[in-house]
Amino acid sequence: MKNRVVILGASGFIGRRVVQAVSRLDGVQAVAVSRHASAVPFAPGVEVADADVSTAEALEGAVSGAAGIVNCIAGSPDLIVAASKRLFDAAARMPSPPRVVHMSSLAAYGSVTGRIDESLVLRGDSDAYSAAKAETDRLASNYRNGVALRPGIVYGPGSGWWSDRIARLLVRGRLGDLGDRGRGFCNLVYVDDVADAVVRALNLEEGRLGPFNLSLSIPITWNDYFAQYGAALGVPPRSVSGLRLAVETRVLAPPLKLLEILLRTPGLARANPLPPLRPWLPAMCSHDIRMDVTRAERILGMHWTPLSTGLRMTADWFLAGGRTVH
Amino acid sequence: MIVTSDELTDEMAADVAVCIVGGGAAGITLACELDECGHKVLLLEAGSLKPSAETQDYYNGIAHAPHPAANEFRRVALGGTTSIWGGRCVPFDPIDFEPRDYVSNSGWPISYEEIARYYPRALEYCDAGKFDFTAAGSISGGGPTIAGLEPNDVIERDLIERYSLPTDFGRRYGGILRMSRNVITVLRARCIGLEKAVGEDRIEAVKIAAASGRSRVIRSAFVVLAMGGIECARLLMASDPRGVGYGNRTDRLGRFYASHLETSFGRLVPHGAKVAFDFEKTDDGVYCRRKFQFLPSAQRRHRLLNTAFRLHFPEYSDASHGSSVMSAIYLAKSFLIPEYQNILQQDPAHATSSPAPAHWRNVMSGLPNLARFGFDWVFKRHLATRKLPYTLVPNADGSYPLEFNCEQTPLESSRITLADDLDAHGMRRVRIDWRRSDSDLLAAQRAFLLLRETLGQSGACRLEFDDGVLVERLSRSAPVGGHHIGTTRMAFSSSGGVVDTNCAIFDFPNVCIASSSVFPTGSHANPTLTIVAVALRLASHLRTRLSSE
Repeated sequence: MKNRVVILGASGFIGRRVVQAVSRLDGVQAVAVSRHASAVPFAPGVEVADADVSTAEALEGAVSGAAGIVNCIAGSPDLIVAASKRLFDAAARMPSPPRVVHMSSLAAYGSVTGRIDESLVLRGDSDAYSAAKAETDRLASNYRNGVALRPGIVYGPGSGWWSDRIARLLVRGRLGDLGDRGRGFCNLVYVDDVADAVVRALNLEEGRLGPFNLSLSIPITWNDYFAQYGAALGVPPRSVSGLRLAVETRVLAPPLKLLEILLRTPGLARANPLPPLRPWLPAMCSHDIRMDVTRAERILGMHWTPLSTGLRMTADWFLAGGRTVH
Repeated sequence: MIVTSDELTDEMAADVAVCIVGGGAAGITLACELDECGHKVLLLEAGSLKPSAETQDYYNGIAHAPHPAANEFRRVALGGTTSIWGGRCVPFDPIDFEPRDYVSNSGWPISYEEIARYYPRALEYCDAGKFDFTAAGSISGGGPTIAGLEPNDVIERDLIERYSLPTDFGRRYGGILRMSRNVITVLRARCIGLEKAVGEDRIEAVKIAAASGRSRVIRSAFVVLAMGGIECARLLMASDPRGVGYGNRTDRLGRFYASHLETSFGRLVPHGAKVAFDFEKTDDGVYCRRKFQFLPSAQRRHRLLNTAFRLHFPEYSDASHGSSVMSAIYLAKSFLIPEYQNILQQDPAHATSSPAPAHWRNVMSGLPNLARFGFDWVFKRHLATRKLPYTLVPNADGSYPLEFNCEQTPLESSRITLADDLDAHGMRRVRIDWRRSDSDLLAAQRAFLLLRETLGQSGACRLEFDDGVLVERLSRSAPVGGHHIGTTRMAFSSSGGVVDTNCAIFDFPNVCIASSSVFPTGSHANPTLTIVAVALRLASHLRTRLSSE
């Protein structure tokens, strides 16, 4: 009989790639669980279950008999915390506690600066999301068969913020070289590398568990990311002045955000031509934070998709009118 | 952190574990790899963030045509020569590492795999995509280089070379250096000497000349020389008060200096078949071009040097190419930097130089093409992040000149020595005595003849050239600018070279060299990618040594 690996939050951007990677493993039955999993065209052979794991019964039902669980649950901070708590409780009560690979985030570190490795205390002090990520990351560490993965900025086909939104801003000339404001490191990781890390974490021997940072090992600044992504999209490079950035984030962002919310209502155009440039983006682009991925390379044996390869695939997806997954 | 030599405090300069001399492709790669290694690393760069006439003067010296002038094709600045490089990334081949009985002084003391395992990461540093140099594996639906050219036992048909952005290492990795807590990058810190510990086979300190002109001594447990193929040898020679040269116990230092031989010759005429001539983009979005090579078995059978052929564009100076773009570039050549002017006039003695009116006629009759080129130049090159590497204009008559590029047989007599002239810091300038073996001409001749025979038999195309002038033309093939190979070659023992298989100097095990100067032979490949791979390999070696000491 095949080992069941249950992916929670399977229809999300990362969840889908994880399902795909897990379904290719020999002797493993991938089980894709999310509220609307049956609406997603998963590969043949994947077992699909529609379940709202924010309720205890649904969650326990979904994970019973699993040899491995991948937690990609997304949603509001409260939901992430509540669902993850139930998940780790349920897993601990199972006869043989399954391996749980928990999708944490760079956000869990919060306001830390400089080079960060996994030994740093998670501050989780940036916002509610950051706090939720830090709290659930700790749940994973306290669970005896848990592995937390802390990806940086996950980009790739399907990524709403980091690939689609950035591409639209680049194409419209609203984003580019930010000068000093763009000199922070952008800890990019390609979505397939995250899925690969999940597979490796599922197979990791006990005793070597623990959290892993996931990011390109040769870091790139936000300015360089915008320049290289722009090049892949065929956009001439452009500088964005401080004044323009201030106008974008302080004056234009609120009405554009409102427009975005309005356009989301059914019956209106799906693709918003004018995405807002959120105020936190410039702050993030100058934040000096660099992930140390030595542990992921040594213990998980990670190899990272070269940036040009990842950006090419992302740009091709975007230029072909690719859809994002939330 | 990045500081200038005048801001370098004694505290910063104390307890240095590794002192890297030279902030170019090799030094920056090494510094990035040693970031957060738990030891203090100093990266000394003679120049500033940008090249200047004052610092560039360090490179003046004596060299004779056809070798470029000593200060050409290299730059003093953070990032080194990567601020002007063309970006061509080509790996060495397994055969380059074999001792070949028909190439004297050939053979590396390490295997191909020892370098090749670092190529994927080196390609990342160069922003040149994945480690795959086949057209089939890199370009979906790319088609053959020459349609109808069937597989044979002589040439590898569908290989590519990849192109970097071209990545300027100083700009691209300056952020990592600025942010590093353990790597201190010191600008305007020119190393002018190595100081030997009395009674020990060890270099205990490096002497630098600071921007203010003051000199100071920095002690370090390990020293890495990463100043390029000419300067590494120069510093070792100039540092030794006895005049022998450090690391020169067996008189290998500065010798075996090689570049690549390059010339454009012949006409390849496709028989109506489609030819992949222009730049293409790989699936990972990297510019690439096609090239031919000889299979290793054919190289051994015909005693050939490792050679690459590319389809070339006609000579700029000869207006019969009929191209408005090339004529315009030719007429505007005085605006180009000297290195590019050299490239336009590859063979001044033989090239047909049409008078200016002939070029003006081309320009006037091809204005639409020129406008399109102007547009491409602005948007695909000048403004682009990933730049179109150079302009390719096919010949009006559908034939292609052939660009030939091969390694040189390493020669003891081809060498770098010190001249008597002193530079601003009192360092003796270099004298470059580049030579080439006559046997290389014969090997190149065999290569052209074999290629003509093989292509002729294929039926897909033919290669035409005048046998009578072949050797003469080859004899004037120029050494490619900026490829400085072999002056501190790697060997099994000090009788064969200057550094061991870990790039450490035999006489001074605490000094390592990260440069193309350690390459025993040079392949046909441009050296930068392999320089970065060698630096990565050295980084992993140093990390092991640092953790064990």
